[in-house]
Formats: sequence, structure tokens, C-alpha cells
Amino acid sequence: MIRIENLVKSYDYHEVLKGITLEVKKGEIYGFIGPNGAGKSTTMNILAGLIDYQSGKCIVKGREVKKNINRQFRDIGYLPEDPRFYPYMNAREYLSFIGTMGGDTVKIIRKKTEWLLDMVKLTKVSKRPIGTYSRGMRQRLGIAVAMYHDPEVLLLDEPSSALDPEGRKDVIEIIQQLKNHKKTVFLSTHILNDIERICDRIGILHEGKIVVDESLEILMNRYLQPIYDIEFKEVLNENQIDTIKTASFVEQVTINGKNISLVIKDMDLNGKNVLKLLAKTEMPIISMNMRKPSLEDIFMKVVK
Amino acid sequence: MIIMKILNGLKAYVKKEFIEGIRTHKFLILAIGALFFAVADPIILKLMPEILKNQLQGIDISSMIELNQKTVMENYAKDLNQIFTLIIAFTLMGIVSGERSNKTLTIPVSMGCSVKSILTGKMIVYGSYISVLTVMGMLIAYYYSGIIFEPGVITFKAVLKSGVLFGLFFVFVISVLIFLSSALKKPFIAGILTLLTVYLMPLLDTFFSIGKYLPVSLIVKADEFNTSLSSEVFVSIAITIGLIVIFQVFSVIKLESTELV
Repeated sequence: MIRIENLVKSYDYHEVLKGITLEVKKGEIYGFIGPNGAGKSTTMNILAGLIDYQSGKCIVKGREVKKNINRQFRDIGYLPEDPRFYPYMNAREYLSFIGTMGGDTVKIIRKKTEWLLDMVKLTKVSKRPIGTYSRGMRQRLGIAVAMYHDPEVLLLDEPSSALDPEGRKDVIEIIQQLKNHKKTVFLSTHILNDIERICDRIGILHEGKIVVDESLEILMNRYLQPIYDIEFKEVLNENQIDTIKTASFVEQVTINGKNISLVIKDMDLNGKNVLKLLAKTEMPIISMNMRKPSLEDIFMKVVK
Repeated sequence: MIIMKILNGLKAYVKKEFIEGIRTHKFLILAIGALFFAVADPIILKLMPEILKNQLQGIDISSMIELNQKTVMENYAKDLNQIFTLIIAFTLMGIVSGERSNKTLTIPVSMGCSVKSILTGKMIVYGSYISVLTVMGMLIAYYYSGIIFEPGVITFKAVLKSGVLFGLFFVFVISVLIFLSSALKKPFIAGILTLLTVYLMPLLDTFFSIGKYLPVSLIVKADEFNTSLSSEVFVSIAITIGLIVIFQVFSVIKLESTELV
């Protein structure tokens, strides 16, 4: 649905994007993350047809995106990082403005407006001038505008960054609904927790280059640490500890009272033997957890 | 398809500019600027001999200055040329640059709205509004001066012609403003440069003797308050319309090459 090949974008002598390549499949939610100034918004703006680029290819729905060329009304919905509206208009008027621009009739505009305002929970304040809205409310209106034409592709630049926890939850739910409706979403955010919750694939942009482009599952497995944290019912005796320590696949054992941490070699090969080994101690187990890295851990590891 | 897109965008922007004109009081400021002098000039000129008489210790200057309907209309034309141009430039100086710096064009443009629709919408709304105001101002000044002074010195048709010529001149001023406002991000600089362009234009005549081809010649023709439609008037009208179109095309080219993010 979205394909970027060797995309290069420079401002004067500063190269923002140094040949990035990525692909977003139909119905996929792609999380685009990277430190500030990495070029996330620049990529978004290029995909939205707002800015030009020096070289490479940028293809959305089979059409090459070039500034001011092939820009369509209904194909792509775009939410800028800081959406700006005409402050003297209210939300209904702004959505009507967007509808008129798209050639919709008054009846259709009214119907869509009601549905969208209800979805982004702005119905109650829909007659207030947008100039009096908080950043979060503007963000919600921006989502409604981006979804106005029910586009197949949505480009969301930091959709939940300005929202309170409740607002963030709502936005995540909206994006999850889009996933159910087989929409393709290209989303950038700083809130890595959101990405973990909704994205199928992740791209990490660092210093103008894509340093990671994987499905979330593969990425998590790749960075999975082979460490088990086990809590026994009682403190293990020396024989029991020896049984664990002498196992060929155990690399390191850390003991802290009833809790032990077990580092094993080759997770894929030896993961299945861990339970057998623990059973040999004949000590009841209260809990057993495998340490999972957060996306934040992975992100920090990758960019450093 | 493309024409429909442009027309839909144009329709949306005409409506948007209309709402903006009302809610940001731009329409009101422009109306006051054009119509205040239409009402005030006849009264001020009527009272001027009395005011001066008090200040000049009883000397009656009414015998020295000829005050009639034409004097009032000439005075109003001067106010329009000098003060109303200033009001237009400062009221509409952010017509495009304001939108650029506030980033309000990002969403419409990302949704496919053509820059042509945006700029044409602005030109249609403010061009027609100011033209109507100018003609109205002329007619109001004519009506009041007819009541206060002896009517009949100049005809209704001559006033209408002058109003239309002034209206066209102001449309030209707006086209310059739209162009400079598209090229510059700071509204105030766009406003100042527009005023300099308009006020210094007569200087071109000094160096190149092309006065009759410049849009300011419309003002000269309007000031005459006659009904004659000489070929010179039509040449000035044609050149002004041509320049309006050229400035509008340049504005579109400039804005299309600008990153509206």
C-alpha cells in the first residue's frame, strides 16, 4: 500500500532522509519511531504530498507521490503533528468546509459530521469556535478531518502526543477500529507503549536511516533476553542449586533468597529444557517469568 | 475531474473567506474605511468655511474657495486613493502570509485543495466586496453632496464610472497584496511593500513616460468625473486586468513551490 525506496530529502546542506526504504502492506498498522529530528514528520509530509524530495521513490496505492501531483481527495487521510484550523470556525463548519472541498452534498456532509464528531467525542463542543479548543481537542478534530473521506491510507503524525490518558485511550481505540476495517495506518509517535499495543510492524528511523524494519513479534523475539526469573516456595538447598548450576545449557544463576534468575544459552534450543531442569529440584514453584524487553529498551539499544 | 476539484475547492474557499471576513471584522473595517469618508466628506467640506472663519478671526474663505458637489467628490476620491489603499493593505496583509505562518493551509492542501482555488477564492471575495464598497461609497458621497451642495455639477453616470474604475484599481491592489503575501511569510512586510508598490508606481511615469498604461491611470481617469469612455480608458482597463491576471498566476506559482508545512 505504501512503498518508499531510497528516499532522500535535504534542506540546503542538511540531509534529513538519507535513502530510507520501507514498505507498509494493506491493512497493516506501521509504527514509525525515532528520536526528535530523525525525519519522521518529513517522511509524513512527503507521503501527504506536501513537500518534495530529491531522489528515490514514494509510492502510495500504486501512484508515485510527488508534490502537487496526483494528490487525491479521498485516498489519503493526513493528521499533522500540530493540526491547525481556522480559529473562528467551529468543528461543524470546518468539517463542512472539508466536505464542500471534496464535492459532498449538504446531506452527506451533515451525516458524516455527526458520525465523526460522535466518534472523536466532540459533539458537545462542536458549536464552540476552534480557537477555544485545547490541543487535545484539536488533535481529535484533526483525526475526524483525516478520516472524513474514509480513506484507505491514514498518515497519523503523533496522533496521541497531546492527549490526556483518557484521550490517548480513545485514540488507540479508534486506531484499533481502523485496523478492524482493514485500513492501512502509517503512524509516528513518541509514545512507545501505544506502538506496542496497536502496531503490526515497526520502523525505527535514526539519523535519516531506517535502522530497524520488522514485525513487532519478530522484533520482540530478536531482542528477547534469555533470562527466567523464578520464585520457589522455599529457599533452595546446595544440592538443588548444584543441580541447576551444573546443567549444560545454564550460563549463569543469580540467587536471592527464594528467587533465582537463570540465564540460559541458545533460547531456541534450550528453552524447552528449563522446566525439566526445575522439576529436578522437586521444589514447588510460586511464579516463573521470562524477562521481556519493552519497545523502549529495544529503541534505546538500537539508537545507541 | 480536475476542473471539478478546482471548483469544489473554490466553493469551499469562497464560503470560508466570507465567514472569515465577517467573524474577524475585516468586512466591517473595510466598510468603515470606504463609507466613513463618503458620509463625512460632504459634511466636513460644508462646515469647513465656518470652522476656518472662527479660526481666522472672521475672515470668510468661502468666497476664495469654490466648494461644490465636484469638490466633495474629488476630495472623496483623494481619500479613497490615499487612506482606503492603506486600510486595504493593513487589513488584508495576512491574506496568504498569515495562513502560511499559522499553517492553516496544511490540512486543506493535504486533502487535495488546489492553490488555484485558494487564491482565486480570496480574490473573488475581497475583490468583489471592495469593488462594491467603492461604488457604494461613491454613490453615497454623490447623494450626500447633492443634498448639502447644489446638485447637478457631475452626473450619476460619471460617478458610477469613477466608482467602477476605483474598484478595478483596488482589485489590482489586492492582486499585488496576494502576490507579496504569497511570497513573504511576514504579513506586515507584505503590507508595506504593497503600499510602496502602489504609491511609488507614478514614479515610473517620470522615468519612462508610461503613466497612461499604469493601473494608477485609472485613478486619474476616475478623478475627472466625466462620462467619456475614450480608448485610453479601455487601454488602462485592459492593462490593469492583464496585470491582475499576471500577479494571480505568479502567486499560484510561488505558493505551489512553497512547502506549506
